[in-house]
Amino acid sequence: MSSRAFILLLLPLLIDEAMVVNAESISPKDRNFFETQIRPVLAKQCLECHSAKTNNTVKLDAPLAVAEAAVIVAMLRAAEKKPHHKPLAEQVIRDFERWIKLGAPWPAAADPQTNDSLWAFQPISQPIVPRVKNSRWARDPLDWFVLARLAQEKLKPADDATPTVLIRRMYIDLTGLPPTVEAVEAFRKEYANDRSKAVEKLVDQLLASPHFGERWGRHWLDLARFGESNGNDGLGRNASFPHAWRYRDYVIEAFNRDTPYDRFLTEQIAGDLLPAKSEPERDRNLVATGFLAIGSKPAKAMNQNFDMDVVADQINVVSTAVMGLSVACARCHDHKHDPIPTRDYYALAGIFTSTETLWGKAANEKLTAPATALHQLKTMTRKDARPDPTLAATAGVPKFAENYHTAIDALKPELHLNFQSAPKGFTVKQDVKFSTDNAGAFGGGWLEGQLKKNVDAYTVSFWFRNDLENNARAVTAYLFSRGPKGANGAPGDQVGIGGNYKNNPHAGKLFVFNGNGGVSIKGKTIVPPNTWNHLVFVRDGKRATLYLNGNAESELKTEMPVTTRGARDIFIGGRNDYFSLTLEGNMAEFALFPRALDPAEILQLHTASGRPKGSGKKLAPQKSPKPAPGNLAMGVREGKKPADAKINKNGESNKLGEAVPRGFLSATKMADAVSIDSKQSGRRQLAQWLTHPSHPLTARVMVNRVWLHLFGRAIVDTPDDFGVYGARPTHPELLDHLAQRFIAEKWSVKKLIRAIVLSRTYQLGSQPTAAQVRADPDNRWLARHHRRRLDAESVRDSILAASGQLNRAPRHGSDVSQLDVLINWPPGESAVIHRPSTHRSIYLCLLRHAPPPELSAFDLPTGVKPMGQRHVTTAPTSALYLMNNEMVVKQSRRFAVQLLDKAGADPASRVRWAFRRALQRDPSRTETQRVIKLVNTLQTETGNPENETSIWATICQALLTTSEFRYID
Amino acid sequence: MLRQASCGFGYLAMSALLAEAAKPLAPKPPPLPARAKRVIFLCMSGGPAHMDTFDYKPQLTNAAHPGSVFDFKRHGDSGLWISELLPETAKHADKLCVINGMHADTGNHAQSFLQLHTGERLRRRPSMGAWINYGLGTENQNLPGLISLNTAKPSTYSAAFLPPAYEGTPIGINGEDFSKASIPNISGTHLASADKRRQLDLVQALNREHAASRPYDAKLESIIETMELGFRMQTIAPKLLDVSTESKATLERYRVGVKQTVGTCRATDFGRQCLLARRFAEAGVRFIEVNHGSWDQHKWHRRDLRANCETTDAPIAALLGDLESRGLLDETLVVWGGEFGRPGLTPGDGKNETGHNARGFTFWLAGGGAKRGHVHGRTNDTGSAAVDGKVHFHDLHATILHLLGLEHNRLTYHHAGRHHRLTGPKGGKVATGLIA
Repeated sequence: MSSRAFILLLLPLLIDEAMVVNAESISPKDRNFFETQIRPVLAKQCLECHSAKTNNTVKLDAPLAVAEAAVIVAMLRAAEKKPHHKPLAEQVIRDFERWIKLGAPWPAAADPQTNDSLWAFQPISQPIVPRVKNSRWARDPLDWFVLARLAQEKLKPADDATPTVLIRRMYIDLTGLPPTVEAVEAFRKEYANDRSKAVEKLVDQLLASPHFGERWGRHWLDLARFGESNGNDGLGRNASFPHAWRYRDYVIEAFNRDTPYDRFLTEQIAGDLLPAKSEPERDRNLVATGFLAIGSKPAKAMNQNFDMDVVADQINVVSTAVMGLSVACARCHDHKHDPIPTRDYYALAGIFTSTETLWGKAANEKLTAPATALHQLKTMTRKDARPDPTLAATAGVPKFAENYHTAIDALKPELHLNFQSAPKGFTVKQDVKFSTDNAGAFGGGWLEGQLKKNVDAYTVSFWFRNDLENNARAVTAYLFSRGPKGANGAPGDQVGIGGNYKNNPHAGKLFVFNGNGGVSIKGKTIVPPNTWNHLVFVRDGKRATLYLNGNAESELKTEMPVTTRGARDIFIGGRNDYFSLTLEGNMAEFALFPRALDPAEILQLHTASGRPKGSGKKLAPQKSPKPAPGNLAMGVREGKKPADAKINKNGESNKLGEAVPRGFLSATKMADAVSIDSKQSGRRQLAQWLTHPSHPLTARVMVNRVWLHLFGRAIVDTPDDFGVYGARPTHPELLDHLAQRFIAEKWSVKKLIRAIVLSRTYQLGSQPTAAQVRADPDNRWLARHHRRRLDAESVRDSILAASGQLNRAPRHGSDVSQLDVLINWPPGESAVIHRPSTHRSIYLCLLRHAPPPELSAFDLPTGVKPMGQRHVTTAPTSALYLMNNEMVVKQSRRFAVQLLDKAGADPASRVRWAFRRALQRDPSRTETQRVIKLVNTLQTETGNPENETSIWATICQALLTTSEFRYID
Repeated sequence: MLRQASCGFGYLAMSALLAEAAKPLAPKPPPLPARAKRVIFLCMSGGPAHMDTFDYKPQLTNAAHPGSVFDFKRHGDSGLWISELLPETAKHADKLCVINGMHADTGNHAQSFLQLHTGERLRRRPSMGAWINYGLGTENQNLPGLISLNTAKPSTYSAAFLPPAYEGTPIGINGEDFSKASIPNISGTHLASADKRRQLDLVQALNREHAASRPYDAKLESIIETMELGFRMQTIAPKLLDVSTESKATLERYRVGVKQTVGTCRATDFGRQCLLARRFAEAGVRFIEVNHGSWDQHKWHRRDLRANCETTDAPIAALLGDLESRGLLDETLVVWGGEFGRPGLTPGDGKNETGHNARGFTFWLAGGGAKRGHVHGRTNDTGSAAVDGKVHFHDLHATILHLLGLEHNRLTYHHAGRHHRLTGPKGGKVATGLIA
């Protein structure tokens, strides 16, 4: 019988399924099996006769197809009868049969890529710092590792970066903000005097800056897949997370406090289980567990796997962010390459199924997710209710259509005030300011005036903006009042915004009230603080109607007794009895008509403004009767009945296999075992296991991430994948050296960063020589620094810094902190949630699938999956952003206004001022000439000297658009 | 030896990947002979009723059974059966390749819609348009390679884990007035266009000096290029979006500006979308998705289906006609269909309500190497399940890639520990029977 025919006969007997296993996809487990059980036998017993070097037709020294291998195994069984074969042990034959079942995997023998594939699971070594000749070069032990490698590659390190380059690099790397030109100059002087003292001083100053946490916290938020809404749940719904910002603030604070990294992880995984010495500490620990709750979930509707989807997200964020491993595949099958069997996945899953995840109401939309409780905090209430004073200063009147003012006049109002200056015929009480930019800015003050005559029917129309949180006090604001001046009990028509009176039923909703002992009727919509809204109030005899933001349907419609007692007195921003709860916010385009306008006219009052319709209504929760209270946090707590999880076959929750005892990854070899108490979820032990000094991954992964953010390229080039398919470290000893130091320094992130930044390697220039480019185009061996583009946040922050508008104070809360709603219902409505802000970008509202437009042009992560390294793309969308984005245009103008104010009249000194402000350097002579030439052309073109601001704004925008502005050397 | 020498690093080798980082959208020659250069996907979201559009199911027995409740006639030389609801599309019967053997895994909208776009039901994956741009780049560097018109779901244009350069550009949002839809920051009125050019000249002069003093940095060079592209997009994209330059006759043919809301059929100015699709196709955009929905006409089957057909029929016919007359149909693959079909109504039983059916439904292809005037596959007599020439979404994806000269097995991307492809772990089969 020919051997081929023999194969065909044997196939059905021996092979379950035809499999072809690629050398590349062999799992470590299989590889190990082959190397220990199969290859030695082949080498010892077979190759003497069966190799390429022999004439034998059966060759066993190269990979075999499954079918061929099967023949061999069949022959082994029969071998006993053949005199020239030594009989093989039954166990050996069984091993071969098992090997066939695995698909006869045959890993390449000396493949450097695969041989060390499990390097990251090996204990962290204690590398000896290498000795190199040029010992004076090094400033930190880490430099020795780099230099040794450079010597090996016969590369010479670049020169040190100039102090100008270095200070900009350190400012951006440590705080995300550019230095001021004054800081650059001071540093240059100090650097010239005493380099090392100057650098150390600067590093310590930057590490101590509150902006440090805003920069490094943002890096962590990328890993924590931070988002302030669920993101599309697959059914097109996207529920807001009104409390997610607390986790953001927690992270910023943790980096600023230099919370040891092991503690930081423990708080996020098991903060609710930690003892706390004080209420603030308890609250902080609870907020930290938001890490496990802020994930993006698929819809609950028709999804039997929902609970396990939540668990999958938790396993994924822990394993990817902390261990640089993707464990996710093992939900359905043993991991193909990494040594992570399905059992390990369910051992981890049991920890999270024994945990209750608190994400909140999910906009009261059961189809997206069932509502859960939230952590109730004890210490954060008062602070949260405080209005954000920094927002009020930047209120800015909405951009109305040009003819809006005249369009209102066409309806013949008796009074029409634009609040650009103090209105005639009114008394201004306490703090009200008038300006073109902010119209009427009410700081608790109000206006008093009178109607021409006593009318039964009248209409009031105005735009308002309230800056107080909706649950800050009993009534958020009184907006308009008509009734006898100073009368007790406030008889008359009172229009206002509800507050926390009687447990919030009115909070944030408009109301009409006819005085104490009378009636108060509330509207439907929660008016978010810090937003501009248009209100029309119509009183027609007994009938009172209120319209909001151009919606044809009224906000409230009622009949209530007239209690004005014929008074002509009117109050704007307050109440006729001088009640203290006056407006803190702004008002614009106030008009009063001595009649009840008809519905068409009322609509006209809004449509003529050119503002989008319904900007208030869309923010209304569909069913939510209450606004989100201010002292809640997302997070996790122990489940009621901790229990092990059962394997979900193929990842389906309705096909259950055996239960797996709760535990951790089996592939990590650790000094001592951590075991889980069966009465607990095991999260504390998970944190203990992850932060154990002998855990092979946690410290390595983190130091690698820190290195990435300081160099633009990590030692392991796949920072989220330390598995078999991930990259190998370019400097394995350096990685272990840093990991050991990190642990020895009690997991202090600041100390680690300080050491790296003070190293010689970090301080090298970024300009390569031709030889360096030839030898090492990707700069793997670090003969120079990497040139890097700013991330989305730093681009925007730098623009605001250049325009002088950056508000460096942390921002309270978030644009969604009052909104428990579906942010995209009706579709597209999410766009109006983002409100203008001059705070740092980390405080913008990170809605998933509806990111802040000011950041989305520069590779902002989606927040759906952990992301350790952002993409850096060069797309025309970013060019368009710099050319046309409203924020960029506006800030360029502000930049120009300051320039004209401060830089004198000489064009050359203006150019110098602008360059120093934007690029922290003086312009060259050619550059100055170029700019002046353009200024002259623009002046001749327009022939209008009043356009000076526009002309210089064009120059300022040009500087913000340059590559130099968004790159650090 | 049977062992495959398969690539360990996915479709694009590492070196190519690095070289590409600067210009990810530069056109790449397809590895196989290509029949089509681009795709226009007419996505009929909600599940169009196949038995009342293209899959004629007459009554075969005395006892009434589920089937078509609208009239069908044969059309064109091919004699394709097409419903009375689509008189304009019917005029192009000889261009259509109707796939009556479509099937999918689930009758849930969201999951099936996701699978239609990404191959995967549960998880976020790159959309097929993103995959295609990853494989082929785009022809017109002044425009995005993937444009999704009137969309409500990011799955239609998401690059997911692919590099973000392949992320599509959505224009307009389903449910909002499409006539105002645009690309973010595409224009600004703060400067006259001549002054914008002058401003950019200054920027570029500074950029060139910056780059010149930093040799060996391809990124800095590519920025200069990209700034120009962005600048050109400002002139090109708004022009493309502005259909007022089209003749009145064309606008009428496409029914631009005609908006009707009937039941589940939303007023979305579908005609403008189809006209824009043609304009983008002419301009060399690789993948254009046009959305209309919802076809999920549960309770008012007859009324709402009629409205959906009426809204889309003439614009689609105009698009097919224009592509043909401009010589673009051969190189443009037009794909029509939704996430699944619907069970048929039984004539005479007075009911007017249908549900979802993923076991058998209809897609059609036109142009781009698909057979003309052809029917591929069939469902059983009641239209409830595909029985012949079955084409799963994975197969449809494999076929679309194949027509574009891409191999679905080799167009892979390494992410989170494994190689991913549009056709998922199970893979798909090219439906060779429908290729001309």
